[in-house]
Amino acid sequence: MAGDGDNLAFVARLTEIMNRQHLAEIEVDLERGKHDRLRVRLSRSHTNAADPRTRLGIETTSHLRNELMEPAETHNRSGDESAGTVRSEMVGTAYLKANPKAQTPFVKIGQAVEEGDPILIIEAMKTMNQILSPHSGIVVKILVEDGDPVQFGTALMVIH
Amino acid sequence: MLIEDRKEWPRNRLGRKARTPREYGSTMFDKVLIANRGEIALRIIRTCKELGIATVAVHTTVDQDAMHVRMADEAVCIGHPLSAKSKESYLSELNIIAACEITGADAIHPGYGFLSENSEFVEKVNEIGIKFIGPNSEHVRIMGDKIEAKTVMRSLGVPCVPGVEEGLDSFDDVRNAALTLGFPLIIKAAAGGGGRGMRLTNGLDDLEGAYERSRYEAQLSFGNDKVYLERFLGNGRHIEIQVFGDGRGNAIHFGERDCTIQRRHQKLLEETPSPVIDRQTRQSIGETCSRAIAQLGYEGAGTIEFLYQQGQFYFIEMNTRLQVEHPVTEAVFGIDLVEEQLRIAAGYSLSHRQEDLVSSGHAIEARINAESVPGFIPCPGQVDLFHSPGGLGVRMDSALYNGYTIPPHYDSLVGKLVVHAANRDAAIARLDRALAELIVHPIATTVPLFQHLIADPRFRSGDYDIQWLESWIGDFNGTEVL
Repeated sequence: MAGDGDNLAFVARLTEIMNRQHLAEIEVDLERGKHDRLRVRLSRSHTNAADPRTRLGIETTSHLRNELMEPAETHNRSGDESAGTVRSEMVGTAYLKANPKAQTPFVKIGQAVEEGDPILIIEAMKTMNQILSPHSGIVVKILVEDGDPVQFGTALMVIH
Repeated sequence: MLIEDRKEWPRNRLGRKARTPREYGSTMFDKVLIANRGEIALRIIRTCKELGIATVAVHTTVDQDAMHVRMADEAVCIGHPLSAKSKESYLSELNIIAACEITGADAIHPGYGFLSENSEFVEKVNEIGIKFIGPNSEHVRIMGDKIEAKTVMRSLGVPCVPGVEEGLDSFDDVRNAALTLGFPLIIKAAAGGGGRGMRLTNGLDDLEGAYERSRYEAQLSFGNDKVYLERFLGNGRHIEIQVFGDGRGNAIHFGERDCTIQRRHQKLLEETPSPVIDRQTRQSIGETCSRAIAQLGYEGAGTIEFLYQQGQFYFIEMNTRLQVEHPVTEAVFGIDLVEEQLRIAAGYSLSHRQEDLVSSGHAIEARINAESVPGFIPCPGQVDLFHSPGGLGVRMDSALYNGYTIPPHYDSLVGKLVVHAANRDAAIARLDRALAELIVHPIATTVPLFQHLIADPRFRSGDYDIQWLESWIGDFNGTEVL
């Protein structure tokens, strides 16, 4: 079992990640064994959340949550990283509408979105995973088309 | 569809999109995803290419320039490598299955390690209509459970270490079982591995203490304090039998591999045939294994590992996948074991009958790890100059290239040098020659270790056990020899 010292070091590391990536909030739920579970939630009241490397908010399974904890350095895959680019953490098929029959997409270019608003869906293993806007802003670019395959790191949208 | 063309790398020269005519009919897979990295991913891609099967590589952000990504027809990024406590991306079941979906791959080859022996993953993959190239999930599960594997193997006539696995609910039960079994014996954790929860006991005097400590450690390490007893047989040799089943009750074996040269349970050098196994013994244990596998209805490649002690075989475990050291078997039989895996997974029969399998000569594999010896400290970093040995009877399986950076996130195995010659002495001479040709500048590797090892008279005699290498390294530690 991890000692208190380990836990403190872990929280310190989270804080570091939060500062470096200008995150507003970070929540971690680690189960390392039956009797070893660590839950940490860090948040700050005021922040400039519109950092280009702000992580995606994905409401999905725990192991993807783990991947969100990594620092972003290795994550920027191309050199043309523009501010506000939202990248995929998942592999799957991207959909811009809530369902095939829906008339309107989640978002359109020029539309204002709030942090946490659904912006698209990524389907993997027949499960629809809602991708939430990591920050508030205006949708400047939509870089995928409805039904496009996406991989880890694919630029999905630019939200300024 | 997902590959970004990299200008600096002439991709098409590596044979992208080059399709050879199919040896198999339309029932062979069209596209296989390789859920692995490094030399083994390359190994599998090579056979797929020869059979006209399209390949999909998966990779992490640090591996985007890796050779397996460059050689595959398509590549999908599935994440970035993670810190020690988190789940690695090559274990990301969801992203790997989704990569199959978006590329239309109809099968997954797991290689070794990572997800290759994860029965839940096998089940998930098969459920979704993608073929897992390997046995069914039930067989993977059974062989992953130490007690169950032993029980099943024993019932199939495979010799096991004498032991008591069930009915050990109190110390009195353990005491009675120990008296029947005899000393010395080892108490092992049922859920265990890596030596944790393992206690050697020499008699009744220290039995209770060992039992309590073993249970305590098992509870602490695995959340389960179930233990079992095994006779302690001393240090023998590690002999393993390569088997193949077609899933329909037919099976063959490809003889043995001797993996006695180990350090801390990690194999370093493997050879076939074993210097200590004669033809009759080989035939007898081989038949025992293939019979068991046939009866089990096992599908695909498997390796049954034994401790070989005073002429007797004792089952250790069965690996339900391709082994790292499979090339030595390929060398002496002249058969592509990955092709055999693909055949069987696609529903074809075994390519050979047992009586048609003929082994010739002697093969040795040396594992080239990016580690400095004698400390075995991993040495990741950029490779400025890589030169692969060649010539008759030399095979180098490696994902290295000039300018490649060995990432620190993964296993330190960077190559497998396999030699084949008419007999053991000739194979050793060829290995010595090939080791001298290998350059991985400026990375420290296990090459000097092998150069000294194969010059040692004891190694040349073939007379040693699984503890020998460690004591041999200990003798040299701190001297200038290594």
